[in-house]
Amino acid sequence: MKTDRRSFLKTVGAIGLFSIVPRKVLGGNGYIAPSDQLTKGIIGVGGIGRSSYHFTSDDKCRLVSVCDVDQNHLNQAVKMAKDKLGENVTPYHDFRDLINDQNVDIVHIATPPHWHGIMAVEAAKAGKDIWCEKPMTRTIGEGKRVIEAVERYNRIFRLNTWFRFKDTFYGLGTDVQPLKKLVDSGMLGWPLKVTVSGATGFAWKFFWVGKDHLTAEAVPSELDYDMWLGPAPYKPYNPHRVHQTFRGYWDYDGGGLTDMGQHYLDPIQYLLGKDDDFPVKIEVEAPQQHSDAVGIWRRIKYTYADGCEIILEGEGYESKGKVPYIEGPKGKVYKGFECTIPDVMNKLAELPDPEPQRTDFLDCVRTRQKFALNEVNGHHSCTLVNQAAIALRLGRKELAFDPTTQTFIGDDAANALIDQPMRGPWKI
Amino acid sequence: MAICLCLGFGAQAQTDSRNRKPETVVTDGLAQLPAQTAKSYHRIMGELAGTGATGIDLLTNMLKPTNQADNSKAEYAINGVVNYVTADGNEALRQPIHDALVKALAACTDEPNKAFILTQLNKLCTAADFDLYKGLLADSSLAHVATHGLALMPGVDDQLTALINSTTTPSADLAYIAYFRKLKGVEPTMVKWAESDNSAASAAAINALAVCGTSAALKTLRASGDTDAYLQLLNNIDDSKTVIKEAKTLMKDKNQALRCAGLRLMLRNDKANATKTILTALKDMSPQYRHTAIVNAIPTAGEGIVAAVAAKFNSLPVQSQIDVVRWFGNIHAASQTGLIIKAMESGNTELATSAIYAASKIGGDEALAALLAQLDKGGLHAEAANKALLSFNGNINQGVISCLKSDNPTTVCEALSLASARHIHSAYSQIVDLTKSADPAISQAAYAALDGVATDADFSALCTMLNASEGKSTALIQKAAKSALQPLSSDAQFKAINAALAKAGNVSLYYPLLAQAGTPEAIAKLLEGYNGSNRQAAFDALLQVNNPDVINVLYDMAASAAPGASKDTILKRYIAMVKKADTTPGQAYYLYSRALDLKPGDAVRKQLLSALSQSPTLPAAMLAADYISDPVAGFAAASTFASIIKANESLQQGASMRGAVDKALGSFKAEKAKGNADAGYSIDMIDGILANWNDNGGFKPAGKNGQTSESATSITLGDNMENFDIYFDWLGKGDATITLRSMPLVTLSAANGISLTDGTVSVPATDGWNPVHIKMINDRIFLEANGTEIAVNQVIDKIPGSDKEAPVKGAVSFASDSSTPVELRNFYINVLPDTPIYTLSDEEREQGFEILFDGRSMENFHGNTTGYIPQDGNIYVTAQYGGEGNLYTKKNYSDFIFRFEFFFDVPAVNNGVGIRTGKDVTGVDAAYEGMEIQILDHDDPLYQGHNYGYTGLRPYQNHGSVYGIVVPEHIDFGPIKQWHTEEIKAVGDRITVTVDGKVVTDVDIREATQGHNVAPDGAKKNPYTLDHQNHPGLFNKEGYISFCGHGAGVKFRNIRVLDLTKQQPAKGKKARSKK
Repeated sequence: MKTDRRSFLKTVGAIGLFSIVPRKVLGGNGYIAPSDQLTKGIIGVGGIGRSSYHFTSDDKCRLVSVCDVDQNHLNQAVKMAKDKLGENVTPYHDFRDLINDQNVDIVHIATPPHWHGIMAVEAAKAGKDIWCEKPMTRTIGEGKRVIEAVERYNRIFRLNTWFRFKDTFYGLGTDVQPLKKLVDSGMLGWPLKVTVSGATGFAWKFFWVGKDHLTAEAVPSELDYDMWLGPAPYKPYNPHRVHQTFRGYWDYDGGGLTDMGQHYLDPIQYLLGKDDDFPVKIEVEAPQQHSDAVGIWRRIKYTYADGCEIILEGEGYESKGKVPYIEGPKGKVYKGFECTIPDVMNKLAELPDPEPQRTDFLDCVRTRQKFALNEVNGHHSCTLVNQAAIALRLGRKELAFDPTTQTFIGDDAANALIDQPMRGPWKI
Repeated sequence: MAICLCLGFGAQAQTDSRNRKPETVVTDGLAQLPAQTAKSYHRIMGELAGTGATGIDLLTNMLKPTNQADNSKAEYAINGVVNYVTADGNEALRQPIHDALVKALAACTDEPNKAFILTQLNKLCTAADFDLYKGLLADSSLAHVATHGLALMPGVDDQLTALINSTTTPSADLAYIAYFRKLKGVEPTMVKWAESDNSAASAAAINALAVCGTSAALKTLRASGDTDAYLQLLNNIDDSKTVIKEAKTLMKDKNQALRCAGLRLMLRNDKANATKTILTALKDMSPQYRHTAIVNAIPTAGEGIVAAVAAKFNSLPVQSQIDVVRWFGNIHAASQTGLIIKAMESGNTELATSAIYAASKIGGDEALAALLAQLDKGGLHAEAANKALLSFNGNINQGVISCLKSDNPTTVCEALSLASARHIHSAYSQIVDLTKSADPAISQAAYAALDGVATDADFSALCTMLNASEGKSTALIQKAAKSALQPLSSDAQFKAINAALAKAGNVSLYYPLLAQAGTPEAIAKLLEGYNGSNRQAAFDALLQVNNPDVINVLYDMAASAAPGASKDTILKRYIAMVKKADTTPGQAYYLYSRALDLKPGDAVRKQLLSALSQSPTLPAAMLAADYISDPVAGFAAASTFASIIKANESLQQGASMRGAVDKALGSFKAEKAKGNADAGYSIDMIDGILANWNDNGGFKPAGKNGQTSESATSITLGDNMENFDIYFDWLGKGDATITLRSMPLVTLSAANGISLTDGTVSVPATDGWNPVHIKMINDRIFLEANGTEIAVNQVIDKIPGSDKEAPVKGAVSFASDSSTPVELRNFYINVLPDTPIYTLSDEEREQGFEILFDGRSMENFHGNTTGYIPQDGNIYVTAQYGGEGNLYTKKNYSDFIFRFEFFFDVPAVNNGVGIRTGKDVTGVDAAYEGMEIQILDHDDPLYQGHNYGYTGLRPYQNHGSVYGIVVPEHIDFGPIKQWHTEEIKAVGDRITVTVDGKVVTDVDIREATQGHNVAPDGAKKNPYTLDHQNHPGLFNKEGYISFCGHGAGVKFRNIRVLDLTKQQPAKGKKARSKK
């Protein structure tokens, strides 16, 4: 019998008859057995989906299909796959066709955020593993649904931001691991206050805002606008709503705050050990928001039940001079790991490193271990941005949150934004 | 705010706590939207909400068909008010707003506006709206918005259930609502709809049954093909027997995900057999199926499952064993340490390494000993054990130290690396001994380990080792010595190194250490080497110095380096150090522009152009503009250019800047076409700036024939100039004098530097280009050269070297003091308008008028001098209404003639002159606690009334009124943005207001109110005043004269006053009685 490369992951023979597929890759000789080669399909091949970081194909994971509701994007992606990767990919217009493609193991979701939840759930239902771009979901309710679906079908989910486990953390000038070690050591004391600001090395995309007055324009022939909107309320087409600039509209995203927020907040959640927790208080200072177009914000503060705080400094409210990134009762740490604790590097070296995280997504798919940043902790950090977005949209100076029920306390209007009904026929 | 709400517009009251009509509140509010702070948002929305239905009527009436008008202001207001009243505590304000929205929805005809209004109503809708919404479901353009509303409408479960059960045609919208609300009691209908041939309704009904169905729906969902709905239903069903039956079938499915879902259901519903099920599942060949068993094991079978699995461990296939070992590690199963240690010995590498990691998570002495023993094995085992030990849950030091004594060289080497990583200082001498090992691998590993274990106490011993070192060990000892010194201050480090240098044969061995110290002395030592015999070593070290003091050294190195890799390497470091330094905009320009002059390679050029955005100045913008067409750095240059002009408003005008803006726009469009999202926003930003662009004014090239360079012994820019801003780069040759306003004020001298002619601060000139910035405004000069500020707004009131008063205007020129021409480039000037200085006419001077504002100084005012600012000879009002305060004269006035000019800069702007608010009184509402002489662009359409509700401004609110007391003659202002003259004369009870030469008000306030400034019976309503309000301060005798703003955008100038009490001391009752 010819060995189908999918047999390892997909088919099941007579139960109880156990066979081991040889995995020469573990011997370290670089050979990839066909049964170990995974495949992926990308939904949304605009800016992010076609970026060099994601538009890849190699021995470990081949790109086999792409999907977009803009025919130009789709054509460009097919050509790029051929020219740059030497792959003949299958183009799809409807993401459901890509998800149900039997040749796809991993569904990579690179659409605007208003689609993330639906697509992740659909992919889980189809038995696919999922790589989803940040922010995880546009609403808190959709995040809960993604967790349910991933759990029900035992899928591997990766939310794609990575600073909790690698790379210099923006302008902070250090990666997160030594910070985690410092926090865990208790040398800074408790509770901690973390400040995300231009002054600590983080440049919010303040200019990712919408326009509060758009005129209706004809939908270009290459774009299936109804499918692009999907679950979002119908609004007349204007090019500013879609490609690239969609970030400036509440129906699809929430500006620099929601689009960059999870990058900055997820590592903090990890640092503070809040992967299973939510803040109990969210305070927002901002100019008034338009009902449709996202504007800027000035200052956002999260407070956890134990007193830990995360402060986001926005446009015009950035502290001047030297501001600690993390401040505790016993010490502070600044950009570039400058710390008020004398000889801190030596002291830290003497302590055990944090538990290693599982950061090889393909290996997680293969071994069915949870990825370091998955649907559960990803939902928690995404909730941080969604909490602030809700306060911002409603003009609330302060919202109280119950971490157990994941609802706001004493604010029906805020709770009405946790689960937002979708435009038919879409559902999650 | 609480008080404001309590006193807000009730059903009866017609005005708010500040006695404003709803129309005024709406107009005042709109003029301030979108609110810029949370505080102002809450204040404005509180006020708007207080107007109740009237306000929303006014606002929704402003919504014009979306393609004809910009509705954003009204949308900000409506969305803001609705959100405001949804807040906890504002329940009482909701009803009128809700009612007005219902009314507006009925009246509105434009579809997007209807959708907008309905979206707002969705936030306030109640059970009373049920029928309205039911009807809207039939409106195809609004159905999805109405569905949204019904999904969230409180308290209508019963009504919805009845509606759904009585609806015969399947409806996708209703089924969605049933799903969203998890309605009970619609199951039979949903089953019917699910089985209907209306595909949309069927799908929605299946979705609904998934969350609110019972076992009665099972058959339908199983048959539907929507397996997820079917599984969701199974999750919700209490009847385990049924679920187990279904689960068994699912577990045999070909689709692995469904098998997993089935197994999960089985485990959760058949806990009694969970252990057995799990043990069976662990033998399955599908990793995801096994994993499902593992993640559900403890929740369904309890903690005992761990031991049960362990008991069967040996009978499991190796792949399952790997899963189990990982699982035990993840849950820190200390009870299974023995099993895991045993698994380390497996011939299967993946199992062994998984066991190694699991052991490190679990911790404990046994695990530690086992992990240390793995070091003996070398290869993947040792590599994994080494990593695992670093994160080992416990202290590994003693174990590592004992391994240093091992006979197995592999173990010793691994232990050395661990000792170093964990900074086991107590192992230092042992490690020094190991450096002498005959085994080269051990010796080398020991040298490498010194880095982690050395302390400053070991420094001199390390120096001895260093002086005697050879080969690879040299770099390792240097590294150790650096680490040893690291905790010390830079100065202490240098001191220690300097002492060691005295004993060193080869000083270059210490260069990396000097680089780490990085003090100016250390840099000097390195330069010595660079210019001496250790050029390469010193070069490498200088590039490691992490201190901005090295900037000039790096520049000199780059300037003398040949083009190519080395020059670029130096410049990269240079850029990093400049970024690290705390630079002024002028310095940043100077430091980056001179580096660009060195012609760096592509990557560095791009970096420099990006970094240039740190300097939001004209020369930086022009320099960036020059590079926009650069094929490599063009986009970086355009981005920098755009960020500079965004940050610096003075650059947002003029024809020469316009050309550069267009170039940047072209670059962004090309970049956007490549899919760069940020480029799209840059285009938006530039479009916004261009919308208000003025080709006149701004910076212009200052050289001959519109050139930006010039070379001559004498250069004249103008003969009669007052205010100006000049930039140029001067080639530092010869000597020259710059004459400003006909005064020799600035000296350029190759030998003596750049300075004020009689100044003490001088900036050295380089023989290259020296950027200079000179700005003169009013009586002040700003001078900066080579990034150093020489004079910051220094007052020039005398001609240098004399007692003569400095002229206000005069010639601006450059003159060489010899035959060497003055050579300039990047030469730009912005000729700024002369500051108009107000002086009294002869007539007014004789009459005794005094000037309150002469165009430059606010010295005669107090109060809100930050919201009322002098600009171009005017007082410009930037204050938003409320909380920010008014502007008051310093003196009190009773009888007076107050003359001024005013200018409406934005439509509908509102201000007022407050008078006689009581001696030394500030902070009260002058309209009632004195008098407010209205200032208002009263003919703006905003005040003309709307289709219904608002009837327009009341005449006693018009410009020139004594507010609420007397109706002025109507003034036709014509277009805004024109100056108007006004005189307010107050003599006893007689108030006379003259605008543009015409008397508009001439009234005796006592007669006008028949002496009743307040209601005689103490009532709130006063029949004697036009506005029916009480004016308790109407008959006050004196007070400051004030400007009372209701928003930004009005200007005042030529403000003067004649105090009539000084002219005629006998006049006035009070004065007389005092005599």
